[in-house]
Amino acid sequence: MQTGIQKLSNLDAVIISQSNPDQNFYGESLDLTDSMLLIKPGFNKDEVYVAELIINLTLSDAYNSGRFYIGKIQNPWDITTVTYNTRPQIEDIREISFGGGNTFSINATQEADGYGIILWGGDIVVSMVSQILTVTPTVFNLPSTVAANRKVTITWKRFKTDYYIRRIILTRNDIEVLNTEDINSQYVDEAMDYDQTYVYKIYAVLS
Amino acid sequence: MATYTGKETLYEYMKEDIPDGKHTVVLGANGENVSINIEMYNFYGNVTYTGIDSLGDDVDDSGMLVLKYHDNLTIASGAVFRPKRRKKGMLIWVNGELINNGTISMTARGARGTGQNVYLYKNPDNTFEYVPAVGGLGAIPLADIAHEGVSAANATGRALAGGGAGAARFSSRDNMPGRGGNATSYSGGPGGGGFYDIYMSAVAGSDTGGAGGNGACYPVNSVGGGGAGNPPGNDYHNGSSIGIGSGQAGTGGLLIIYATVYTNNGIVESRGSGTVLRKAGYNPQAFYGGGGSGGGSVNIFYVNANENGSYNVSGGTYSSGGQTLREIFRGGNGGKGTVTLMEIAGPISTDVRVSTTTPWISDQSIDISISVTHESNQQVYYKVFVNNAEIMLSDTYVTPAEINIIIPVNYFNIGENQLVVVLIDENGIYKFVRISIIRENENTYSFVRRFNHKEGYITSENIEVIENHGIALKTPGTEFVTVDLPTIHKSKIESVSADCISDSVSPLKKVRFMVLKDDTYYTYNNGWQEADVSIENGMTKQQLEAITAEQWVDLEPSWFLHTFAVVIILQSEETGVGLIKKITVNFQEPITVLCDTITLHAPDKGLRNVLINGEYQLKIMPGIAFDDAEVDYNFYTTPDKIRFRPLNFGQVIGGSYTQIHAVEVINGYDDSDFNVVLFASKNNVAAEERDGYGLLYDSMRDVTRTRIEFSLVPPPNFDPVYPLTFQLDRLSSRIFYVRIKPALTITGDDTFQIRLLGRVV
Repeated sequence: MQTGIQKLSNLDAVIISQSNPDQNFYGESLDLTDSMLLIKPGFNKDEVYVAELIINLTLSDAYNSGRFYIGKIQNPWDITTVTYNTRPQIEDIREISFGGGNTFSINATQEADGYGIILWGGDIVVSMVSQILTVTPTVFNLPSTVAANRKVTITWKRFKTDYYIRRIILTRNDIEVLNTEDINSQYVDEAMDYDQTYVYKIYAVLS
Repeated sequence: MATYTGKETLYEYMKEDIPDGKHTVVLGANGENVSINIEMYNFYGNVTYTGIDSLGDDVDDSGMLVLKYHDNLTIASGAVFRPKRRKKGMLIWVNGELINNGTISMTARGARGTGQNVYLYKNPDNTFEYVPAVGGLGAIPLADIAHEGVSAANATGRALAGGGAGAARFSSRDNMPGRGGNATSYSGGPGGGGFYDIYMSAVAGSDTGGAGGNGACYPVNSVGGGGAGNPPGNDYHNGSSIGIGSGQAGTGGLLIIYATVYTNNGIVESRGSGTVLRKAGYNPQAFYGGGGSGGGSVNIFYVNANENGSYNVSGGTYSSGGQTLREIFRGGNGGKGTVTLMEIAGPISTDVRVSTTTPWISDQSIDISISVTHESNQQVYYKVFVNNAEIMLSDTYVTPAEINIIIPVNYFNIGENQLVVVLIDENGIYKFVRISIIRENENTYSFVRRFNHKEGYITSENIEVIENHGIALKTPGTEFVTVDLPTIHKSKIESVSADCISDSVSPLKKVRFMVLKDDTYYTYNNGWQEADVSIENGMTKQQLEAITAEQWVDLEPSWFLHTFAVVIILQSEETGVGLIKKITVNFQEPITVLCDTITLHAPDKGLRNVLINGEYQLKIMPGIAFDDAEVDYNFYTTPDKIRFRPLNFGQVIGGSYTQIHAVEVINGYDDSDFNVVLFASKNNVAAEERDGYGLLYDSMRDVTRTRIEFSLVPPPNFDPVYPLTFQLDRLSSRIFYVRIKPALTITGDDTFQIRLLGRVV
């Protein structure tokens, strides 16, 4: 059994430069020196939920360790026309470390629900950008209230997939509690006990 | 005892009702009347035979043993189905199914007596299947010195085989080893005697299934062995008989089986007997063996057969038994007998059509139509079995009849099932219609269409389906068969394969394939291409089977959204020849994916986890709670009215105030503010309201009654108010203080209640 559906692919990326704020560098060297790297994720967020997104940068040479910044792009942008002056809005900026070497892997799962990923802060040249993308057909909705001896309704988001979902299976502490072809059903847990923890897993049987 | 006449063959007599006992049947065939004595036994109900050599009476050579099973006969593993004694044949008749898991044998049960032409069955062309009165000839010994015995030739047709000749140290014109005996219809030929003599010849085996030939031997240090037979011949030594020893008893016999269904998982045999080395005399140095007896004749007539077993009708052979001598010349082998299996038409003929043999989840029943004819227009009835369980029993039908049977699919298990319709005529003779039903469900990923019956989707009148041979054309031409493929609950195709003929030019035979997606025909040739349905555009078997899973996905990645079929195009100049037996579609199996995991914690009594900004925060339940004033959520009474623990005043002294205790009142509602009134009660009786305190009704005099005091002001400025009132806003709390002065009249533990009355502001 696999967790999510893993898709591997190479990605499109471009740099924008404050020193050449009106120039688009698409198709040119991804030299981050004084530049920002904009990466287009390889999925349509309307079709999948992202369980994990790992961005792999293959570098042109071995580099020393350093620190970078990563941010989530908030609005659409065009890789062939974007410039520093027309750069999209960025938020949720955080700092990440680079241990040195020829490759640089970034867990960008939390940036995956934006319109792309932006990276800057290091003097490296990137030769290839690829991703390890794990998508999932659905994710749970968190119930608004959890209490013992009360009905707790377990629901999940509308399935997003280009696969045919034959059925779903819901487990509670690894015991199957629901197995149905009605993929949009829900499960009401009326048997939570006081001061107990319950782990729910939802599985999709795909064709 | 009775004599039965008027029939030509044993087959015809066996369809009659002949009672148990010894009778004579006269076979009037081929211009002769052949009287055969029979020893008749009838068996009713299903019989499982577990014995060894336990059939028939104890009289040798008395006649033919006839065993008629009116239902089914199973011979268990390890059982040996053989007469106790020598018989002029053993005839087994089974109306239903004969299942042999053990051994059916006429080995060494060949009988003495003159042979007869035993007429078994009359063919549609009026010829007869019969066992000849005289079978294979015995082996002729060589007129030569120092030779092994000559083996008898293998028998042909339905004949039994002759016996082997004896061996010789030397021969002369006058004295010879014994000739092998000729076979009869009831016995393989006995073996001739072994020979080393100058005064007498060894004796030939009997030509009527009798004794093996005696040996002949004059030297004191040698033995001339007797041939195998009924009984074996005597061994000779030093010019005199030393009795039976080398030759073994018995000859191969006649075995006849008629069964509607014949299933052989074991051994069927009728072997001759052999010889063994015998040492004798004071200085044994040489042995000249007699011949082995001939093998028998096995004749099996069936309507349906399932053959997984083996046959042995070998002639008897020599065995040294692990001994050695200076000189050994072995006797000749008995000839190998014959085995004939013959499919015959039963009295009932059927033409079967079935709606489907692969019911899908949408199918409610399997509809079977059977056109029934009977050679004597007898009435028939039927039973329906699913996986050996009888589910239906019909009334009788006058033949010819059109019988329609509807069987709900619920009778069938998921997977492969055996559906059997048994038609039974007035004589109790069966006709089996066996249909393999594969009930599919969503968990089936290999879809198989076996073309054994004309199912509903085969609509052309020019197509016939021959069981075990597949689809054939009735007249030369081109025909199309469209096999719908399941799509509901099916994944993408992995591969498709076909069990069909290869192309032949003369006579022309071709099978081609196309794929029908929705209403469009496709063929694959370096990519999927739309094409008109025709033999020219169709793919060969090799081309069809070469399509990869990825190429099938190219045709359609979302298989379940469409309808699909494989179109089989058949072209043949030859009719009645099966062109395709089976097509198999393998689907990709589904995968199970873990989509997401959540961990939820149900907190302790009176509490809940509330999702706020994507994270759970611990909150009390909606309601009003009494809580410990110093420890959060250490409830006396939870918001959802669970009495969790009492407020313990500890050791108290009647007439003296207790310590002051702090209690927190919490409003867990997030949408309601309350005006709260606190009062005390005991035994559901509210305390009497006095100026600043309440008095419980637990004593006669006011001064001795328990006093309850509440205050919103903590000590040392405790300011009693009764009843205590205050406002308690949503999701807020308030601490009040309480002390009591207990009654003087009570000893031991006692309780009272602090009650809260809340009114929404």
